[in-house]
Amino acid sequence: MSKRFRTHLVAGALAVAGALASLSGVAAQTVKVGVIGQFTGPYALAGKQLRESIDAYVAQYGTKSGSQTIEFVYKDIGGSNPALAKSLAEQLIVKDGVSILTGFFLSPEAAAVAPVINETKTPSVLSVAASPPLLKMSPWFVRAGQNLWQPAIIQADFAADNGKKRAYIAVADYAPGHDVQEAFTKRFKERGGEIVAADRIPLNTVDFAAFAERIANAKPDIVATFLPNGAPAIGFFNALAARGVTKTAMIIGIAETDDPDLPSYNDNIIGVYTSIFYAGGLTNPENVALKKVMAEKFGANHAIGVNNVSPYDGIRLIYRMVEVQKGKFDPDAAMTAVKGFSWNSPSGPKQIDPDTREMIHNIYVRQVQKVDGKLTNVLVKTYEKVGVPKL
Amino acid sequence: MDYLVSSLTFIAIYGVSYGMVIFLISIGLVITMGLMRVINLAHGAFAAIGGYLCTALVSSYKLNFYLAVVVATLSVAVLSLIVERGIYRQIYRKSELDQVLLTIGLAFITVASLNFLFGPNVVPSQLPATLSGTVELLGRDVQMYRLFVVAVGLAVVVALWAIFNWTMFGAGLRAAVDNPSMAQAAGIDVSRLFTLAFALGSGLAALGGAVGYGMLPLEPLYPFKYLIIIMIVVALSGFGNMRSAAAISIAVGVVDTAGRYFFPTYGAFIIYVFVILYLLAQIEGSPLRRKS
Repeated sequence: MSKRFRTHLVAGALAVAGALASLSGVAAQTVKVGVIGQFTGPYALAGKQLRESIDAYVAQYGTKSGSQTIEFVYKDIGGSNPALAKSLAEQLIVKDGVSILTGFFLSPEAAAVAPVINETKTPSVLSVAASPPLLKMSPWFVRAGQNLWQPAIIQADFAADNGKKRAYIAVADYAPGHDVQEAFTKRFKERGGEIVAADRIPLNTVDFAAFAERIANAKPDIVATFLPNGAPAIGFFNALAARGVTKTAMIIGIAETDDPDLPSYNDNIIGVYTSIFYAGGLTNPENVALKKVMAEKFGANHAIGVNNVSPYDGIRLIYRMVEVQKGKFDPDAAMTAVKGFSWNSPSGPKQIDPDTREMIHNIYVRQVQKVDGKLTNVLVKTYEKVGVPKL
Repeated sequence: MDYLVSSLTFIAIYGVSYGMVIFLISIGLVITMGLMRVINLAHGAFAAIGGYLCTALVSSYKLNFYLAVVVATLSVAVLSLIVERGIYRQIYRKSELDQVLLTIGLAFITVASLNFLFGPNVVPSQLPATLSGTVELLGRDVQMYRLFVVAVGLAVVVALWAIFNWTMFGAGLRAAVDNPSMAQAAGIDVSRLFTLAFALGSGLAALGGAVGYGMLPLEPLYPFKYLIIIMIVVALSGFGNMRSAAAISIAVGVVDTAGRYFFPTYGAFIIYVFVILYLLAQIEGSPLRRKS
């Protein structure tokens, strides 16, 4: 072998290796996803659930979608802090180079981030934030959870379907409470019901006996509620039970008796209904698989909450956005890929409304019952493919 | 008319029982602040620990509820003895800022520890069946628990009144509140008195936390959540004045309940209007002031 030929051979091999390397460089491109979560502070439980859902999804489906690898970058917001959410979004996009944002537990966080993502064209998946007007604030938002009007309207429909006529609305005095009050009132009146009274309960209320007394005196046949999970909801339902309202009227809430919260209640919660987009007892294969992976990773006693399920669906949407990418991240292609996208989630069949980017999904009415000595949310009625109505 | 009568009986029963819980968790601070002039912002922590201990004893060790209340109260009293000797002793002569910083730090430590040990959620209530039931009273159903709380509160008021008026400990306490150096000079061991009073106050807070958790649910943030209402009682009742603390607590409970009942959305503010009016009356040298 001549010296010259050998040189050629080496050069050729190097060239091939170089070409391969650059090829695999394209193939192994990484899409970074910024996660703005409540990992510490008063809503740390939701942040924990968000992280669990991401871990569970990655455990099931790996980090690759299409030809690209997904990498999550976590940022902690640690409480109700819209200004911080905005600056975290800027940091994630500019400094960390993320192409997609997710997280967003509280709606004001998402509202604060809207101007940023409008400028940078960053698709953002709202994992929990449920305020109705959010999606109008940015064409780059897509909702993985519910619009708060959806469960409120089903509260009214379920009450009307059961022949209830006199409704008492008791909601916490904050924006989500007002949204529920508005949607419920409109729908229940349309269905021929009467709103006996509506109370907005201050968030700092400790002793709920006065509200229970007002409700009992008004003699409604259905009480529609929406209060934050935890101490307020538990105090309120205890007061209703102590005053005997749970026996005389149908009580229907939204997320108050979520599976992870149920052990904090007494047996006097039995009989209370809730209307929301998930029920732990669903037997579809996706839910069975999710329960299995959650139990493996977080222990057999892990209860999946709604704040696990919608972030999990959010990750599904992100994988869909990445799946269609070829080479450099194209935000328009990402949004087009999720508009009208439908799939089967642990919470049932899902579809993103192509016009509004809202979720069209099942809303389940569940009732707290005692099953095998344990408080359980038992699925009572399924309202299929609920979209977002115009109010 | 019917509506008025049922409203008034509701406010009377529920307002007084709520006031009794407030009295139990704040009387300790009224006494210790009167004695030592220490702003103990960690006072609510003793109530929280009492409540948590009581529920843990009932749920994990299947202890009888009433027995658990007693055990929790005594344990917290003993714990507070240690804390007083070990920590509070250091700050009696320090500036107010040091006292506030240290005690609020203790409250933060308590919150973090409770969160770590019991999780961030509300602890389920473990009331015995007898207390969850209702009885007919003044033409309406009243939860037994509310009456139980009123009974406990009244018993504590009577016991404290007896201690204050008929025992040497009470006499020494009254003397030390009025003038600590003179009391010391007259041969009263004021420092020992402080320790005992501190343990008494913390024990009562624990009792309030344990019997009151049907109204004030237990969660890690408890020490801060109820600090404002405790401070209202302390501010309005004056240093170490047990009788006016009882009256003020009940007034606060009744005003708060009535406010929420008649004006649900803005009811939460009524209590502050009450506080402002009451304090204004004091500034102008009304007869209310001479009580303390």
